Amino acid sequence: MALHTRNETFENGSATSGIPVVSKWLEDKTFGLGLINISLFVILNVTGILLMFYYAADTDRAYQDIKDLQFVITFGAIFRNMHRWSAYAMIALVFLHMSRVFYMAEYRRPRQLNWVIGWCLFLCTLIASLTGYLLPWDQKAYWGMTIMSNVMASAPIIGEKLKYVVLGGSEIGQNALSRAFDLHVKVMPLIMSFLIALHVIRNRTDDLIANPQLHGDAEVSVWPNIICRELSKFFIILIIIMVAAILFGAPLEEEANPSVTPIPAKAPWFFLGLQELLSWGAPFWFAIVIPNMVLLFAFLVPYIERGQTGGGVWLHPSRRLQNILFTAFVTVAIGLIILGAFFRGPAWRFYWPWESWPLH
Amino acid sequence: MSFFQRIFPILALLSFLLLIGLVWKDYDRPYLEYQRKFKALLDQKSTGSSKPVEFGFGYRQRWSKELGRVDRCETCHLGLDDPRFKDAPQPFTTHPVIAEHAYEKFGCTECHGGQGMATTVEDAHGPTENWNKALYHDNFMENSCSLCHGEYLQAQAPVLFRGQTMFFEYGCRGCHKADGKARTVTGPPLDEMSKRVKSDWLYRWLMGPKDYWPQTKMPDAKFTSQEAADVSAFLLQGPGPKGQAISGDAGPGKTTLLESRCTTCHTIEGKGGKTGPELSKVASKAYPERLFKVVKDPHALWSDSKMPIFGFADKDINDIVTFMSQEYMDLDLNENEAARQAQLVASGSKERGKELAVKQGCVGCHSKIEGVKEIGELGPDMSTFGVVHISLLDFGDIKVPFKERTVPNWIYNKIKSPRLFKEGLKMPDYYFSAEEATAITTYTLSLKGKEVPASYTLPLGERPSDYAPQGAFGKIVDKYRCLVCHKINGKGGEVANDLSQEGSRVQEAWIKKFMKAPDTIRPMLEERMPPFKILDPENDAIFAYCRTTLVTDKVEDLTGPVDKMALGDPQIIRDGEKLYFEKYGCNACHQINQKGGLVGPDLTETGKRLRPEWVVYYLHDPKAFVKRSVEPVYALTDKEIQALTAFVLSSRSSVTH
Amino acid sequence: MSADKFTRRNFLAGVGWLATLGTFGGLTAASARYLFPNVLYEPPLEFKIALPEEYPEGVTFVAAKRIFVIREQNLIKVVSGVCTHIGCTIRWSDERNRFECPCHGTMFSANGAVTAGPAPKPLPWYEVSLAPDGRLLVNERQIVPFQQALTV
Repeated sequence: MALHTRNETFENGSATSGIPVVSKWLEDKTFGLGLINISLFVILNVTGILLMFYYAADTDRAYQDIKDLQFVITFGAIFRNMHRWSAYAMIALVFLHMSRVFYMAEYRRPRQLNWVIGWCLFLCTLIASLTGYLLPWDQKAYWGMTIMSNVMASAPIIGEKLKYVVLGGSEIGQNALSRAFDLHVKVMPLIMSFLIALHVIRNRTDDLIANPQLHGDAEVSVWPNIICRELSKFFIILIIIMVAAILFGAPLEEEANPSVTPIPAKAPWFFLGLQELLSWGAPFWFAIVIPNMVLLFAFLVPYIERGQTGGGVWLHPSRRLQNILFTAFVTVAIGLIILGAFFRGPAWRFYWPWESWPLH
Repeated sequence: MSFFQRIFPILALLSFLLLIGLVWKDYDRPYLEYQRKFKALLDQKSTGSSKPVEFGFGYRQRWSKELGRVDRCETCHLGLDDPRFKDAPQPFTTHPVIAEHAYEKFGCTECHGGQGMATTVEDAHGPTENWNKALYHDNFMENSCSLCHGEYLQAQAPVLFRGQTMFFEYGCRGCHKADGKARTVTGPPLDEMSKRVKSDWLYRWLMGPKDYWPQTKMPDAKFTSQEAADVSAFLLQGPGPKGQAISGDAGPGKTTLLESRCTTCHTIEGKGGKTGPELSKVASKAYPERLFKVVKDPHALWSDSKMPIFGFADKDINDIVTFMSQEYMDLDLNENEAARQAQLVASGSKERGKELAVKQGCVGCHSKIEGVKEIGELGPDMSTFGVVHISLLDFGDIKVPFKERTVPNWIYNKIKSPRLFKEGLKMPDYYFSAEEATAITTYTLSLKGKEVPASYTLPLGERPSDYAPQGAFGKIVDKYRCLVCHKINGKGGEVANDLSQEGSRVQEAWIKKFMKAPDTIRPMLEERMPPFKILDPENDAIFAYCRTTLVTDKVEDLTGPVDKMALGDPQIIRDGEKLYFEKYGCNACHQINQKGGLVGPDLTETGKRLRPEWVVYYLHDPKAFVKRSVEPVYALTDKEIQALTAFVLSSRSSVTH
Repeated sequence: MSADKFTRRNFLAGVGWLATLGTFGGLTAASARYLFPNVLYEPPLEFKIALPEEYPEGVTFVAAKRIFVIREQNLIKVVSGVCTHIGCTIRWSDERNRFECPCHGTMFSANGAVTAGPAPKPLPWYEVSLAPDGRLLVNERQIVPFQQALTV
């Protein structure tokens, strides 16, 4: 079977002809991020299936099951750690993948729909992580979900109803746990599998649309070359995840206790930026309007930015404005998370990271 | 070869090696080390036995569904049920046998605390980042006993019981609600203070109660000088004493005072009983007219007072008060100092004093404070304090290492030094010793506000008696406060002997004489019964009640056999004498006519004191009524009992009265 | 030389594939081992009952564990009290010297063999030994022949 590598799509220099490139080394490297994300998805599914053998989404049992995994189940701690670190890695790497696509302007015709699918996948990843975050039923799970469900509730008109249906009630209890479990274990993996398949297939077909002359002689055989390359990238991520699983235990706090609020209560790190944003003003504007506008804009990027030049390579000079804007967006997004993680203490007051917090 | 073709084998190999690393990290769990050590010890101890030692490596778990606990402690604590490991080092030491505490049924953590689900030492013993409920320190271990065994564990859990008793006696419940019991007032009422005490004394008392009376239960509120003056001013509102002169003779007063054996309850210069306050400086404290009232009828002033009504004549009281006014002055008190203190109080602010009195919660122990009523909770509710979450406890400015940041630690330090953690705390200081603080901490930790399933409970210990004598006898007991020192039917104090069988024990003429003028029965004891001015009708009522109610059939049924015993027979008496001195050596502990030992009661006038049936029964089983009796159980034959009884009853005092 | 390169490439590729197989095989094996629980939330199959002295001559039913403790002089045996048919708890009859199941009429002899009724198998006898603290230790994982007994 012959498959075409993405590099060769641009190898004939069709996109770059006549236009200077920024960095020879960077040129059109993808770092295999798409493949790495799929690898992470596979790792997550396999470890997730294994974890399900010993976990019951019951508020009386969930925390104890996590303790069992940690203490008495052979490889329980390892698989749990792998699962957690893969999840966090996936969020970061999906974001990086998306950034890479932007910097190389690979969202342009005919790839617009694929960009939208990609962003859907990013949102799915966040939802999967959020629902998974609740499952250990510890303090950070409980209070993280409290914050997130309250953010949802601040949406106009539908807010309260949204929170009610997400939690399956007015408080975070058994219903919320069961729903989170269902979403996390079945719904998101199904949707994501489907979307990933679509995303990958479209990637290939988009190539053919863009370059009709691709049915040429430049063929590379799948076996062993493609498989080797793909497996290598898989091994890289597997190695990193295994090292992380050996060295760092997945965090676990005390069992969920509705009568004891941690001071301060923080959302999961991937939503910490949103929580930080929220602290700047009224929830309506800062939790609903601004984030949704940003999201809408993100989805519509390929339909807004329709330039013809500079695609296919990193940081092409003709795209200076777009790149600067996007870099600003990334900086703000990451900056918000860092701010919320290290510079906020009790009552969400500003503290330098080295300042100690008063405990009462 | 392309880059990836070169790198692929390296990556694959690296993955494989890491996989080995994964397996290695998981397989070599810490508990296996302990199990290997145990197996080695087991092999050592089993050398010589025919069967090979069976030992299965792996986790051991006890799951109690009802208690909701999973305990894996036995994974490392392996010698628990094997008596051969009694002297082995931890974690292999045999579990001490505490009655039927089959830990197979209860698991471990219900009593010991800690994280049962964990299988590593740090996580199991705690505290860790996600598990603060660490193992209970040995000192506080008894706190879990009351969960299953109830609250009357005087013998079984002495530390817990002591803490429980102290919690009540020291008035903790005055400020802190705990286990649903009502607040009890432990201090005297504070009405008419201006007629009772001198202002400079009150100032000194508020500045440091233990300086005046070292055994007082009143804590030190650590007032500043001005605050003490203000509170004194507030309490001393109202007219002063009328200034009645108390004129009497100090000499007879002193005699009466000494004869009345006040030191049975009070201390004078530190020597005496623990029930009443120190008297050696009382003249610097109280006005003479108040002293008169107290001695005459303490119950009218404070209905819960433990002091009996002695029934002195007014003249005698005058003498006593005159003696005390002259002799029981505070000799260390500088007159200028006293005047300065009185002046401070006189210029103190009553409003500020009232504020302070409210803030410090005086009403928690004292009633009848002018203008201050019940004011709700003064301190936190302690009903579930034993399981309070650590994040709610403020260590304040003290730097506490993580491992010591536990609930028991906080409670212990708070009780020992209530204002240690930071400025502005208001709990007063009781100056508890380490033991006392440990006992109270144990009790506080036992307040968990939870119940175990009924099938796990086993109430133990003696429930307190609700005996409350009624009628004429009840009023006499109330007047003379007999139950402060004596016990009847389980209720009362342990200063003097148990009177529950007194009717079967003593002869009428002797007891009536004794009640009017109690003399020494046991030479060894320091406490002596004070001579009350018991009226004849009262004496008759007491005896009637004793003889009809405070009797035991075990002794009463011996009346018939005793009649046939011929206890006056001289031969039998001589036999008894031989047994007394030669065979059993009773004179080692008992005196007859000042010859003999001092351990037991004087037997000189036994023939007039004890009823023969009682002596017979007692010799038959000395520990029948007093389990702690020192008298040895000799398993005397009936003939020996007859002889000894005859001899003892025959002895007469060689001193003529 | 091109011939050398060829062999080395093959060798490295072979190593790579072997390591890959090892990794995935190892992960599968680890997952398989993972699936066997080390601790059970069930009543333990090995448990202690009372001291031997507390069991009188003859047959004693221990209701909490659904077993019978049988003492003949100083020999102790333990047999299951669960009928091998559908699982009802059987009863011992002193007069008729046999176990009887109230559900479908199965009867077992004193040795546990089926003498009447629909049960397909005889009653299992469990290994009993002495625990270090002197109590009887019953091991339901270990089935022993009915003749085997513990001497106390």
